[in-house]
Amino acid sequence: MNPKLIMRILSQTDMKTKLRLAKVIPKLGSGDEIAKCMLCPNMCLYACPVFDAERRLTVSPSVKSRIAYFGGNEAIYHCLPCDACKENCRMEISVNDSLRKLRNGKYGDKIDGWLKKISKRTEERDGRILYFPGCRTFEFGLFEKNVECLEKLGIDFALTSEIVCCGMPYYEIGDKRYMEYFSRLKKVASGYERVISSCPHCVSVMRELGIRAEHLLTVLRPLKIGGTVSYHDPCLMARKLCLVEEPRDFLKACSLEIAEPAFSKKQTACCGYGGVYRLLYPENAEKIAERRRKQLEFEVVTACPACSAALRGKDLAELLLEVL
Amino acid sequence: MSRVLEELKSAGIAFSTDYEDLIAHCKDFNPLHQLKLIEKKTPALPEVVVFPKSIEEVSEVLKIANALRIPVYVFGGASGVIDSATPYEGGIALSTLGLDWIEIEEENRTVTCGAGVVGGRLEKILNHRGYSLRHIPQSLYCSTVGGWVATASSGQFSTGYGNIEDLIVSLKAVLPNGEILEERKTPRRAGVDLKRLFVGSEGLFGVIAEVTMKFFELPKESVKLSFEYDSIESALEDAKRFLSLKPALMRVFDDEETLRYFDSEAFSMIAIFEGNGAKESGMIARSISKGKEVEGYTDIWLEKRFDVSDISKIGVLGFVFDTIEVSCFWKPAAKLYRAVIEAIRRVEGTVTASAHASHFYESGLCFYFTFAGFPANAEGYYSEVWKRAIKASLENGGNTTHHHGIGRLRRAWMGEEFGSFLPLLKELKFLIDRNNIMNRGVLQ
Ligand SMILES: Cc1cc2nc3c(=O)[nH]c(=O)nc-3n(C[C@H](O)[C@H](O)[C@H](O)COP(=O)(O)OP(=O)(O)OC[C@H]3O[C@@H](n4cnc5c(N)ncnc54)[C@H](O)[C@@H]3O)c2cc1C
Ligand code: SF4
Repeated sequence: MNPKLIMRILSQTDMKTKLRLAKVIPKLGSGDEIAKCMLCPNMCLYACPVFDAERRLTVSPSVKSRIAYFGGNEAIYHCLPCDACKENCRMEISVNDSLRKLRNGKYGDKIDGWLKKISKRTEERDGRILYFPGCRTFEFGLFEKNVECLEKLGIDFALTSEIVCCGMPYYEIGDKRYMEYFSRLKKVASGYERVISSCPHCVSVMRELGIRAEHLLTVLRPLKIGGTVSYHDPCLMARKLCLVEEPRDFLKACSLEIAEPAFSKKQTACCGYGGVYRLLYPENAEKIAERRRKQLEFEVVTACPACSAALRGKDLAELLLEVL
Repeated sequence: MSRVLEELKSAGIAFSTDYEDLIAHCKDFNPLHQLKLIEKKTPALPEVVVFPKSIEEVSEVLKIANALRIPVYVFGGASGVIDSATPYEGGIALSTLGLDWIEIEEENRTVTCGAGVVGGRLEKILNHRGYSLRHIPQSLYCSTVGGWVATASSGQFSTGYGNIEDLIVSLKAVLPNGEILEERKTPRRAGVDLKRLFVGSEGLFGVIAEVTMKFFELPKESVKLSFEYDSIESALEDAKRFLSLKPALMRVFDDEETLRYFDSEAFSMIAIFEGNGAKESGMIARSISKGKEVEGYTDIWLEKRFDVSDISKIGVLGFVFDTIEVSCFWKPAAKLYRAVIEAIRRVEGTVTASAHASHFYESGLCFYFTFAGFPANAEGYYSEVWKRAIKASLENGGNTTHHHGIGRLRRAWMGEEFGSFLPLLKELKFLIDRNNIMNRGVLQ
């Protein structure tokens, strides 16, 4: 706070209040994020995809914080790792980050069942750079396509069947099994120069674990395609990896015109398939996806396996494969 | 209540009695409620929350409630600050958020939307097409279109484009007995403007279900000016002079707010001129101003205008923070400003009291006072500040509210505000809501 303003305020305040203030002023700026968010009038409400689809104040950012503060244990799972709140918050609060700490893994078995169903053994292949597809690349049938695209582009990459998922789904719901996944991922990644992944969430998790990780985009080569597409910014790609202009430059280099929707770049709108929301509340996730689809006028191109499935669009590698 | 639940079920209307949904509908944004939350207390709790998705479903809910005489509290974004829809008697919390359709009629420059559409989303969609509502309350991102009408809301650009009542073309509403009201849409008509009954009605006469509003082209040209003054009088005089140039936005800040926003101890004014002729208006404004022109204050304000993080930062420490907006004619304005600031500062516990003038009319303006206190007894302090501030406003030619509304917070001064119109309001309420089910205790 401006020192002149503090002096001015103090000169106008009565003595009793001044004494009370003396005790509290050192605490200014402190206070946990859940409480601060609970006291906010929901200034990011308009951007929250979960609220927008469910149309319940209960799952709006500030109210979820209120419910968390009161010890509630359901609305705190109605969240996506999209960080639309953080992007629109003057205190840069990520509601999902705050709520995650309070989740106790109550949906762990659901995640377990799902992960078992989609897990697939891949071929082993040597190389300096590891291509780590991540669970959703398998789930949405993009693994083979991505591999084919990398091969056709002549990119040297390694594959391992040692690990299918980075552990994010467990991490999101507060199931301690994520630790096992994280440490396995770190161990596997340490054998390579760096890791590439087609999933922005995997890249972001790996970076948080100190792994040198890049999005697949960084190794792809543009090819002449032509036409107009709607580019959908995956939330984590834009907000965590800060890859906003790079995918656009890539598409332009493919001779594609880009139609921007009302919500784009860092102000993108989530597709609903992020994190584990779709596994816990499939109908609501579909609603979010449907709303986002309506905003996208042309064929959708994106850079995340979950987004491309939700929006019935094409992932970058899929797009290139068409002309390879 | 079990009858209500049975009937809602057979009507196929979504509802919830889940504790988390009840907590979500326990209050509006009145500061005393915030203090309760910190203590993990709910100011009130409804017995059920209903989520109608269409006007017909709203009608069904009200028919059920009316037949069983169950109180109904209408919830939009719950950003209201006047303790209005707080469900003190339990009953039904009716959420309008499921009414969320948007139809843009580009040729007519109108948009028709469900009452539960969140303002920020609507504005963003319009912006994408090159338009704007130009109704930009600070709560744009957390309030609903229905809430704007129900509270007679006012936006930051009201000086140029008008308040919500000037921007509504038509609306649909549902009366407490479930009857759906709809009028022929038209740019203007003579005769009694009955839809105006719902502007500022705070849920008293039923549910505003759909609103048709005007919108404007996003201005291609704009000129931003800022000035400093040595007194509130000279700043207000300039504001009055500028009005003939039709500014889109003007704000006069007192010395404390100028210090807070712009790190200067003078009084100040920012002004924005928009659209064709903005440059010329800006040039004339410069030439007629008696202030000292300064650089960049408008941009600083534009950048900070939605930042309310201080509410949370000081709120968690137990500070009491609120705003009081009143309107007055030009003549008593400066005197009223001083009297209200003085009245607030005199209450023990006050840490800061400041003001800006934010909405201007040919005949007068709105003063928006902000206060924060760190008292030993929050409730006592809060009620004392309000009593003294409103008294000072009324005694100095001001009124009791410009755009936040009455709710329960300002009930005590309704006689002063409405004069001999007040009995008419009570009669209208009785006529429209025989069983007094809607927002009991609000505006009455
Ligand atoms: C940080 C902040 C800034 C603000 N800035 C402004 C500002 O610049 N200008 C301004 O005018 N106000 C402002 N407000 C006050 C508030 O945002 C407005 O009053 C807003 O119009 C309320 O809309 P809402 O959807 O949140 O309504 P709610 O708070 O949900 O409801 C307000 C009242 O209207 C009734 N109501 C709501 N919807 C309907 C409906 N569809 N039919 C019938 N009754 C209904 C409710 O029962 C209640 O009585 C601000 C508030 C905050 C917290
Ligand atoms: S995340 Fe930030 S802007 Fe959103 S409700 Fe919480 S405090 Fe407010």
